[in-house]
Amino acid sequence: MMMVIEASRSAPAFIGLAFVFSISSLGVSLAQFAVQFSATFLVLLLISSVFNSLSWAFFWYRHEPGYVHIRRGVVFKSERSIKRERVQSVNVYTNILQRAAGLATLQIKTAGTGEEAEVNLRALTLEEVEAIKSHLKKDYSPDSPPEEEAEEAVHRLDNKDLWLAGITSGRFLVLFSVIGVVFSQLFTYIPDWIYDYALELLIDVPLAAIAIAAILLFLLSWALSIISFVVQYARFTIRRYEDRLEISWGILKQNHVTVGLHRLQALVVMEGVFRQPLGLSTLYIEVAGGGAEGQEQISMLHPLVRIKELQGFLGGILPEYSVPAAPVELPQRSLRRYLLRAMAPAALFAVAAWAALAEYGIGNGWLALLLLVPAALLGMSRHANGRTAVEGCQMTLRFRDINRYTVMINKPHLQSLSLLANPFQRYNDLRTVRAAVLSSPSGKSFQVKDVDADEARRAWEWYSHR
Amino acid sequence: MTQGTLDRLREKLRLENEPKERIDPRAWKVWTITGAINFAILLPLALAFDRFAVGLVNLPSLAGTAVLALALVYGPWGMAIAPWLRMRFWRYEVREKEMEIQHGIFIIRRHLIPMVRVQHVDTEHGPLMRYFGLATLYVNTAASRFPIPALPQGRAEELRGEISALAGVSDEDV
Repeated sequence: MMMVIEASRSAPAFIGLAFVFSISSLGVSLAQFAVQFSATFLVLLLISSVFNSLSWAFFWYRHEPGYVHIRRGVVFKSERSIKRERVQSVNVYTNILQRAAGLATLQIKTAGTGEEAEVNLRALTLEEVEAIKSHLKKDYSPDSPPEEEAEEAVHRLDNKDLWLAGITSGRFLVLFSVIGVVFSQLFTYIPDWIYDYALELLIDVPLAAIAIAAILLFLLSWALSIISFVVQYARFTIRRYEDRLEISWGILKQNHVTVGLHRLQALVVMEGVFRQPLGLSTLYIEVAGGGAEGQEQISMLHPLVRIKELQGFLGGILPEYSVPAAPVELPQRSLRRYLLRAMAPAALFAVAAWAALAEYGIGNGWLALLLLVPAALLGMSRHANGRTAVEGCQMTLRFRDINRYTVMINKPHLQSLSLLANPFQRYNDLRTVRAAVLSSPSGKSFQVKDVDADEARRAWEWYSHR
Repeated sequence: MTQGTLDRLREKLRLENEPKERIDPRAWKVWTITGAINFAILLPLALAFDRFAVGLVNLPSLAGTAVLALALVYGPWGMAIAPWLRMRFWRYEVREKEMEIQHGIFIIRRHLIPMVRVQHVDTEHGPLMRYFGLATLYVNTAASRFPIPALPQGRAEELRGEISALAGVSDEDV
C-alpha cells in the first residue's frame, strides 16, 4: 500500500515527463504518441515503485516517552534521535489514498531550516500517530494517560465564508497564466496541420463567438479555482489552546497543523485587491523554525476574516495581538514622494514604449502615457493607506504594494528597528521605519516609507530601553 | 544662495543625537585603497569595451563613451567622496541594554538592536584591514547581520567580549 501511495505522489510529475519525452512523436502519428507516452509513464512509475519499496523496507522508527528514533537509508544508513524539547511542531496530513487505507503522514518539525529540519513518517496507522504525538507532548507521564485538554477558543469557517473566500481568492489569475505559459511552451511543438486546421476553423467563426468562448474559458477557470479552493480549505478550523494553535482543514487531503505560540513572530493581515472592497482579509503568521517544505500551508492562519470582525477573532484566538485603536496616518507632505516613486518607473516605461512605437512608424504612441494615471492612483492609494502605530507592547505597520498589508509585531519579537532617511527625507522631516522579525528560513523586514519624523522617533523611543 | 538659506538647509539636514563613537580614521585609507584598486580594474575594462567590444557587436559609439564616462566618474567617487561620506556617517554606541549603529552614504540608516536580541558577535578582517591593524565586527540577530567596520583590532576584541557578555542574559524567547 505504502509503495503505491508513494509512487502516486509523483504521478503528475511523471505524466509531465512522459509528455515531454513523447511530444515530438505527436507529429508522426497519434497512435505512436499514445504508445510512447504510456510506455514512458509506466517505466517511470515502475522505477519509482521499486525505489520507494526499498526505502520503505529500510525505514525503521521507534518511539518512547520523549523520543523518536529513526533509521533509514538503502545504501547510506542514517540514524537520528529527536528529543521532545527540540520539536517545534507535530503535524498530521492525510490524503485520499491514505485515508482509504486508514493511514496518515506524521510530520515532525525541529528548529533549523531545510530538509534536515523535518522528518516525515509516511503511512502510519492512526493509533500509531496518536501514540507518537502523546510521546512528544510536554507533560507526558506513562502512568496517567493524558486527559483531554480543553481548548480556550474555537473558530470554524462556515460554508458561506468558504465559498466567498474561494470566489475572491484571485487564484483564477494564476490558473489563467499557467494555461498561458503552458500554451506558449507547447506552441512550437504543435504540428502545423493541427494549427492550420484550427486557424481554418476559426476564420469561419464570427468574432462574437470567439469572445464568448474566451469569456466561457475565463468563467470555467474561475469556477475550477473556486472548487479547488473550497475542496482544499473545507472544514477549516482553528483551535486555541493555552500554549498553541491547532489548525486543521481539507477534505481530500486533510491537514492538521500545530503551531506553538512561542514560535509566533508576527501577524500579517493581507487584504487582496479582490477582497479589500468587500472588507475581507486573509491572515498569515510569521513563524520561527521549521522546514522549508509546506511553508505556505503553515503560514496561513485563516483564509477569510471580515475586517469588521477581526478584533473579535483576535480576542478569542490570538489575544496577544489587537487592532490598534489610533493608528497614525502619513503626513500630507509625503504624498509627493509616493507619487514620484510610483510614477517615475511608469513614466520611463511609457516614454520608452512611445519612442519604440515611433521608431516602427506606429502612431498614437503617446497613448502609453495613459499608464501614468493608474500609477498615480496607486501612489495616492499607497500614501493614503500607510499607517504606523505603537500601542502597548505591539507595533503595527500598514502599507500597500498592490495588496494591503497590516503587520502586527510584539516588542519581544522585534529583532531590530531601523530608521532610514535620505537627504530629501531629512529635509522634509520624514523617515522610513523598518522592523526586522525572525521568519523561517531567514529574517524578514517590513517597512513603511515616509513616516513623519516625530512619529518615527516615538517608535524608536518605544523600542529603546533608555 | 544666501548664507541664510544655506544655514537653514544645514539645520534641516543635521542628524540629531547621533551615536557617540566613530570608527577608526584609518578606515578612510582602507576604503580609498579599495576604491583605487577597483578603479584600476574598472578603467582598463571600460577602455577595452570602448575600443573593441563596441565595434565588434555594432553598438552605437555613444554606449562606449557612456561606459567610459561612468568609469571615470567612479574614480573620484570610489577613492574620495564615498569613503569621506561613509567615514562621516558611520557611528555606533553600545549601551547596557541595547546598541545603536548608524551608517550610509546617501540614505542614512540607523539601527537599534536590543542586547537580548543579539545572537552572536564575530570579527573578521581582510588582508587590507589586517595590514592597518583593523577588524570588522559583525553583530548578528536572528533576523539580520549588522557590520561595524574598521575598528582597531584590540577594540574589536574588547567590544566582542563586552557585547557577548551583555547579550544572552535574558530568558525572553526568540
